[in-house]
Amino acid sequence: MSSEEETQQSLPYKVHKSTLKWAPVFNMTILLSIAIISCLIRVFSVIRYESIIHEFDPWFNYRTTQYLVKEGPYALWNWYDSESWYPLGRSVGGTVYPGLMMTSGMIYWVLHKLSIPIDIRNVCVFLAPIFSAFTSLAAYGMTKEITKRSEAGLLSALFVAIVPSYMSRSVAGSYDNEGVSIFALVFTFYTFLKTVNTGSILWGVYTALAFFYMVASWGGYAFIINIIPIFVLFLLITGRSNSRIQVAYNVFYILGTLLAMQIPFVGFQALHSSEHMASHAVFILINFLNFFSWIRNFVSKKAIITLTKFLIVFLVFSILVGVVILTLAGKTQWSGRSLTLLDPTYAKKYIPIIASVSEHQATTWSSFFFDLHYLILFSPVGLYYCYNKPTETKIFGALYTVLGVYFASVMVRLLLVLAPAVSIMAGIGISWAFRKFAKSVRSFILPKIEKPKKYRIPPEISIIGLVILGYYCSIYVLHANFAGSEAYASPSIILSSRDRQGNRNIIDDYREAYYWLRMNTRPDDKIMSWWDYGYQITGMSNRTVLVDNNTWNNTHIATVGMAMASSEEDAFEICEKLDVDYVLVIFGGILNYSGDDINKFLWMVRIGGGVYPHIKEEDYYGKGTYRVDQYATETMTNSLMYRLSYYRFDEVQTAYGQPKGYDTVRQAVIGVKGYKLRHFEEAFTSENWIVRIFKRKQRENRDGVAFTSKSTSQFTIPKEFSPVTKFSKKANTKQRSTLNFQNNE
Amino acid sequence: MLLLIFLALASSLRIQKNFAISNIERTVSLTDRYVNIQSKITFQNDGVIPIEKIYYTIHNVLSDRLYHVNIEECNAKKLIEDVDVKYKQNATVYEFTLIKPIEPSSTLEVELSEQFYKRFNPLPKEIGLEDEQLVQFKDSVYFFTPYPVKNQITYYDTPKIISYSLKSAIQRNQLLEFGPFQDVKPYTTQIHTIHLENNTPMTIFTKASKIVEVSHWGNILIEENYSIENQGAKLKGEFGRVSFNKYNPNVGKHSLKQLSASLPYDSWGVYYRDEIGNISTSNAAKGKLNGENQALVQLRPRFAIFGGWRSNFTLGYNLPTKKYLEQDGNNFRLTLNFSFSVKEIVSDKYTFQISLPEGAYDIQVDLPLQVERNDTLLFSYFDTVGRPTIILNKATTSQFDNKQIIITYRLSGASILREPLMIFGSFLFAFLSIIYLRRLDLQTLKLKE
Repeated sequence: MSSEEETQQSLPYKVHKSTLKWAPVFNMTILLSIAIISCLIRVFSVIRYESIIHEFDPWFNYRTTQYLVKEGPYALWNWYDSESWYPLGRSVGGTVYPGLMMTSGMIYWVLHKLSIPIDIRNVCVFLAPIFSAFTSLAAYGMTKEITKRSEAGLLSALFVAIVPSYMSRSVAGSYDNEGVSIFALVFTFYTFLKTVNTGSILWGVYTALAFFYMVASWGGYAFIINIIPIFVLFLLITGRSNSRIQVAYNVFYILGTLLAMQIPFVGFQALHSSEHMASHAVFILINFLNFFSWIRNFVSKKAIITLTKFLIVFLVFSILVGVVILTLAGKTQWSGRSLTLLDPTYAKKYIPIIASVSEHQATTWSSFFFDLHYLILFSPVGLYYCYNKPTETKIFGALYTVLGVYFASVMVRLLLVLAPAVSIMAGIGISWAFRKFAKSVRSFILPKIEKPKKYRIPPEISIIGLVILGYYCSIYVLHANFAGSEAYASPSIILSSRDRQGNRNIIDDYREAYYWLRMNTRPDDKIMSWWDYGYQITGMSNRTVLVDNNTWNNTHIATVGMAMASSEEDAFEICEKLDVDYVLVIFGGILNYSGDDINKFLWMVRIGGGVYPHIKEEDYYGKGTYRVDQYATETMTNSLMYRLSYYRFDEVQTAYGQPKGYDTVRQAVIGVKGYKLRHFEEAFTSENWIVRIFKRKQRENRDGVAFTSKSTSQFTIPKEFSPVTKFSKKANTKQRSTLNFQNNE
Repeated sequence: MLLLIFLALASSLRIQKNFAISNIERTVSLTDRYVNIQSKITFQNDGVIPIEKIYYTIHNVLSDRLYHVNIEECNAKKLIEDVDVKYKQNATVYEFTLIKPIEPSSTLEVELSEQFYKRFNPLPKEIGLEDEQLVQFKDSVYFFTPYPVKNQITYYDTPKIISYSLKSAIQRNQLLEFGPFQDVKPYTTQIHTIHLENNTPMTIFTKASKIVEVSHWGNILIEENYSIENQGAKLKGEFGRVSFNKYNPNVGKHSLKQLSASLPYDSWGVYYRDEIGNISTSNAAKGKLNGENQALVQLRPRFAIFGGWRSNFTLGYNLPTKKYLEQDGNNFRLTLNFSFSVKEIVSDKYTFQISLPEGAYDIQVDLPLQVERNDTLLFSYFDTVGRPTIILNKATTSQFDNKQIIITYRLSGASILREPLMIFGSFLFAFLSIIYLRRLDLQTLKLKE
């Protein structure tokens, strides 16, 4: 037996050999466990709270899904929802991305056909965690298409599975479009890259189908329809285009656009909206260039050069002119949200309703770090790797990351789009570093197998590097775990607090009040509240609301804002015109709950003032700042919002050592005390005052208006002839002189 | 002619001559949300035949508000149809069979207990948050009975009386004394009213149901659904959280703040929720109640239920089968309580639904109560032919109807394995077909490498 064979038989070699043999099994097992982990980490919210739909938008999705399951898909297309946007209503079928609801509807139907009669609520609650598992699988595939390496894919899959940014939108109960569409996004990219790598038309068709699912589920599909053309354009400019790219793009574009048009909410926008313009332009360009290169075979070289120059200039110019003309003529339009992406200050200037949403704010560094954590540090390594030896797919990955960073900086919400990119890049980067280190360690342990190389990191440094990288990765995992179990687990309609003994108390005011509305108001009562709570009220209370989180009608929202910002008398008139029976306000002054309506009030004023100019923001500033204490302006203290929020608040002691009526959120004693409401009465207030519901009183008998019935209002009786003036002096002097006319009849 | 015979047969109320009530002493408790009347009745048999049956009549105005009636010394109660009484007196008759007949020229003292709900009319109909709830109670001055009454006296037990219509009544502290009245003829009625303060919330369940699913794998799942309504005086004016809170127990006394349910001692996995999720205000503990081991659940509704307000909730729990299901070969015997667990409140309508395992046959239900029975099939997890389901409907139901319901059925031993085998089989089939399809070569053109 030779010495070489002996070393081959020694332990490290045996281990190495069997590891290589079992690598595919390891690969699959790890991938499966990542998928399971991505599900489990999102179930913390159910364990800590309960199986419930979270936040705001999910309540609409949930309600629509209930409708879908009950009435069927055709009824959903035709559903005209009269419970929202009273008195306008909302055509839900035409204004909704149905992908999410259809997905859970399908799951529900399939399970029921298999005689598993699961509740639709549980399907909705657990949909996002299940799709996050699919997302991590798709991320594995995508990374593998980029790098052709499984270990990079596994790391990316792990990073995507637990990235806090994505987790924030996909914990159990967070039943929102993003939950399924991030999967659709990554899967579309995976299939597209597969097409780019193989040039297969079949995979191109898969890309189009994945894109169709994305269009069906989220407005964020615009990101795909722009980034793929940008990518193709980039390849064209850098001269890396080839027939595979052409196949991939043409199949994707033609089928994708046709399929996108099938969604009623998108329809012909797929042809004329500005979000799609880039895709049309690149389609023309790539085919034109192809045609041109075919022509080249028949024309002399010199002519070609002139022709090329001329045609390129002509093409670019005509496309630009075309877009400008279409935009000016109003044939194509940028939506407010898209414009905000191009010009981050746009919304602040023109559309307060978009600016008022917290998820449309510009991203702060802290949220970047909280939502992506060390991935921000790792991903540049991956980017470097991609730019170092570029291939088409690596370029795509890099482009996706760079564009994602831009969009994520503009809007907090779009961190979600960036998260998979950063995770994939970080996975690529870390695995590349790991590989370098591992190679050097391996060459130290197994000198026979690893071929000697000139430049190699010393094994000691490699081990240190591995330990440090492993440490950072585990810190990331711990952070993600914290985010999943604490930060993003709260359903936001249930609050929890800890008392001094460390016991957890559930504060369930929202549901207390919503359920009160459901049980103890008439079924056709109309509830006026700020639009944030619209979906929750229709979902939980099953009552009609004036405005909700689908902010499609700015004027209507402005009217509600105006009512809230007006004095009680004016607000009463508005409420009466709008048939409002109850007004619901959120008030956190007792419990130090800062997300209440008084803090949102300035947005109501701004949005109301945008349509009704007599509402002026500066009227609500006392001594230059927004305040509720004794220096608050009269307009502020007279506003309906102030009056309703602080009604009888001055009779309670909220904080130790503070006078009565001390607002714990604003940290001030309220300015107006001991007032009575004339047109509204407190119908219900939840235990901790978070939700206050006021009933609009009926107009007092002949209050202010003499002739309300039609028969008498045709006659106008001059005041001096009115027989009532005499009586009215005896009667309530506050009432107008003609009040008691009908008494004499 | 036939009809006449039928009528003669149906009319089975026979009052012997010289049989009368010599003395009756009624105590009407008006302190709670429901009215409880305890009467001590002395029957005197001056006739010649022993009396085996005594009759209890209730005026039809009150008959559907009477949720329970019982006489201690009797062992059988029967609702009988008596045309004479039904149409002449507008009353319903119950026949009670005495354990020991009343021999001629002897007397017997029995204890009658009657429970009524919906007897209080709020007056005023609307009250403020901090007001006391005043209610009006209507009753007959005389005991409504088919027997002549020689001597009777009635006490009304009530904490605070506002007024009463019978001028001859005497008020002693908490008690209002009516009588004694001598020699009252059968079926004599004279309405009187008492206006009193009663701050207990006048809550009833407008609807309650108990849904049971039995699994032979060891678990009985029970879910009880309730619709509660406060029929007391409606809330007038503002709600006022400033005064109505946990520090002011005297404000809003007439609202329902808490309920309690007693579950079997070995129940587990208790949940309390409604259409929009868990109700996070409840406590459960295991302990002794009335000498029995029970699991006590304190339920607080999402909001205190004032007059005119409503709420729904669901209480669910699991029981182990080994204590409730007896097996003898293929024969099974299931014993469960009929009524619901929130015992303090009476329900207008009640549904008891029980689903037995798939394949159960020869189902027999034994329940010592008059109920309406419907059978159906229920499809639950992995069911193919459906579970035999029995639905029992009853009108007014209270804790007095909490009789044991015994269901016997037969089930072959193999059917317990059917569902697991089905799942096993379908997975096996799925995997085998995947293996087969993976090996299938559908490529028609072999491309050259």
